[in-house]
Amino acid sequence: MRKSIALVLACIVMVVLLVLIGALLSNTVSEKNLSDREKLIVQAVDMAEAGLNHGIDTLRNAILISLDETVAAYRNGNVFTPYTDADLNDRDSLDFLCAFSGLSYVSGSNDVIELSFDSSSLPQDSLLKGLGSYTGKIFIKKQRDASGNILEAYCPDPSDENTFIFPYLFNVEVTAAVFSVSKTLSLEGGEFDLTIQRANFARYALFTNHHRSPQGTTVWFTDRTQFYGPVHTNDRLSFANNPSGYFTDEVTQQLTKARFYDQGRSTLIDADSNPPYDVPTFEAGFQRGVPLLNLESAVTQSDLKTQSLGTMNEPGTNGIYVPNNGSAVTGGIYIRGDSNILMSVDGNDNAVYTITQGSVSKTITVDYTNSQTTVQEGVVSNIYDGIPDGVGDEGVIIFDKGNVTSLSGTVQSQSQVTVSSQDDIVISGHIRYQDYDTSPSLNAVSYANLLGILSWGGDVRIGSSAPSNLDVHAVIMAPHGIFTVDDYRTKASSGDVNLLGGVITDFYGPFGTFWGTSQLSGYGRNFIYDTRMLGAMSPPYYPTARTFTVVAPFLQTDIEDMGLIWRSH
Amino acid sequence: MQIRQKLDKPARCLREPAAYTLIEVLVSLGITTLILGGVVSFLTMSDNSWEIGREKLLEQQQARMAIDNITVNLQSSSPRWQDSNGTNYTVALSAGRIDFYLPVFYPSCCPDNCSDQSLCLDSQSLLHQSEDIQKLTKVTYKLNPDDTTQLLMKEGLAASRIVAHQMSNLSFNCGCSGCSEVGDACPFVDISLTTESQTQHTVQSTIALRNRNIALSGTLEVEEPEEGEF
Repeated sequence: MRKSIALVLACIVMVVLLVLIGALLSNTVSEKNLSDREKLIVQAVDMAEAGLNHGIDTLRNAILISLDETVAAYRNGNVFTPYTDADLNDRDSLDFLCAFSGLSYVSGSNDVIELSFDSSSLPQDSLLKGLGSYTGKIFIKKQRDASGNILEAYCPDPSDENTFIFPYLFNVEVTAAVFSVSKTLSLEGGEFDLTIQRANFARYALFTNHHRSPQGTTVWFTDRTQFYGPVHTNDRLSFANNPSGYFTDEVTQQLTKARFYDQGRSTLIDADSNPPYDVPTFEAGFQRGVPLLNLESAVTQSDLKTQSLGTMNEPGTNGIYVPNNGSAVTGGIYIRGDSNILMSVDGNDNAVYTITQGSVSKTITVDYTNSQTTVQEGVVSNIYDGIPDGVGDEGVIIFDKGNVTSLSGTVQSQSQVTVSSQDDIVISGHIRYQDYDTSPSLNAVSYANLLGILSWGGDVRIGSSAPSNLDVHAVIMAPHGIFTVDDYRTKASSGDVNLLGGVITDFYGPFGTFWGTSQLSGYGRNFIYDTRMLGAMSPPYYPTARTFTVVAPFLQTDIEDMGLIWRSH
Repeated sequence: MQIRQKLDKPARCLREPAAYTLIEVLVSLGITTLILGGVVSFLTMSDNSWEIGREKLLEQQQARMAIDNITVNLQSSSPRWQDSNGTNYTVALSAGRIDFYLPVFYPSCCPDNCSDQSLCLDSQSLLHQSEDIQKLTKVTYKLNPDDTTQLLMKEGLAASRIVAHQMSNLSFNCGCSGCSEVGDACPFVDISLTTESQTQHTVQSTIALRNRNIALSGTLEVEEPEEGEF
């Protein structure tokens, strides 16, 4: 009887304990399942977000790299004309991306094209497989205006087939799957204009065909050399000392070996540095053995002369000319013979160009507000309608068939100017934009003022009387010459040339001398690339290459700044 | 045979059964009562624990549901929507309450594939695409003033609905150290949610508002309740 009671009690206790353990396990398992599901949902969202970034990167690669390489093979713009003309029955902007960039129409649709991508194309795919995967598509349509009308591709000037604009709208949609959980996210409403245009030479903070002086002397990058932008030479670059030059952007050269000072022994090495003696700093790498970039230009000196002369015949005597028809300017500013040019801004915020030739001085005042140009010589003053911006209305063009023996001053805030000469141009003082920022670093990104200095057959020189720590805000080009400093061997050490723009020259001109690690004479280089040149912006009538390139500034912005609408489905 | 005899013969050493004495009965009853009391007490405690565990699980589910619901909507919002007229639609935080704006898109058939194309037209009869934001809808989360254990959500002009129960405390704060408001400089919201259990189960999360620098059209419609309605 007692044994039976004990057995019953034991059974009761056992049952109770089993029930409790079961309940506890049930609670635990339920909670774990919930937690696991929460974790999977978060992982799926994270993975889908990674997929969105991958999608934007895929679009960038398709447009800025693949398409750019494809269009670079063409020399004649008429290959793009069928996609940009008024006849939409043959080909349109969507057909263009299908033909040139490998996209395809969405099945059953004639107004949306797509580009697929997935996580398997990532190098990290094997690591991701244990976690999950994603698939995504980029959908591209034609943009519409505010009234809902479709915006077709077009050529701004059909008589000059050098620029073609394709307005697109894109979405990126990604579905991520992490075990049993899937999540779909999208980025909506990305609008970008894709421009196919002749390649702009102003794409570099420094571009040289031959990275030495015309006499064959090596010009070294030292610790007085700082380039905040892309640098390229069709030759080899030369580095001296530790520390040596500082480069924030990609540096490329055509030859495979760079030259290092090596304590005066001058050694050629296929390497980024020659430690411990010569150690430059490359924030974005140093690539050697890249293809040669041709300086062959689609714009000639004659084109600029034509733009500045407008309807006027080329004069046979020296002088300063503002071609006009008696009431309106019909070209730019044409100078025959050597001249001094001072740029300034008057009290009414007008751009003023004071041009002196011997004893003759003309003051040309450009009033952008009223679109008028005043030409004053002594007490005689004439007012003309319009702005001396050439036949193509690109911007103010000053062409000197001779030397510009002195150039300095301030570029007015609304002015886009090219000062061009047949021979040398000498910078005699600070050249600054009226509008620019110094924070976070020197830039003019938010402003319109822009200057190009172009010597067709000579050099661009910094004059011996130029001040220390010289500011030069301009894109400088000397396709057959150099950018150099007069008397650089004898000029006292004068700080840096602070350039905001870029330098494109045939040879690399010296700015100063050094001994060991000490600056002996001349200037150091503090060259900051004007990033506006990466887009469709360049000084008026500035030379372009014969090849085509793709420009889509929107795709080069950070994803956070694109203004895309994040959407959870 | 011998074995059989042994089994048939009563063992001499065993005593004859006798009645229990009163003391024996009382002692055994006492012991039984003690054991049963212990078992009942144990069962009661176990039942309470079970209930508490189950309650906690339910509360955690409620807390998760609430956080999920808020997160999904808040992520799709913006720290500052601005239309072309310069009007800002921002995130407002106060004790136990958050107000923000959600984008509502035109139907996916827009602009050319809807049977009724008026679905794709705005108030000025301008045609829109499915990627365009048709309107902003104001969303509010707060504890029900009539029953503070309920989390209410109101979206636009729709009636408010209960999205979670068993709440005891809910707070929203700007998600950056030292910040005073959610904005372009700090597009994050800290959420802290406590359930009404005695153990005070609390869930915290920091949510990033994903839509920033969005340009909205001037014809944008905004759906929000009259002031004071909610």
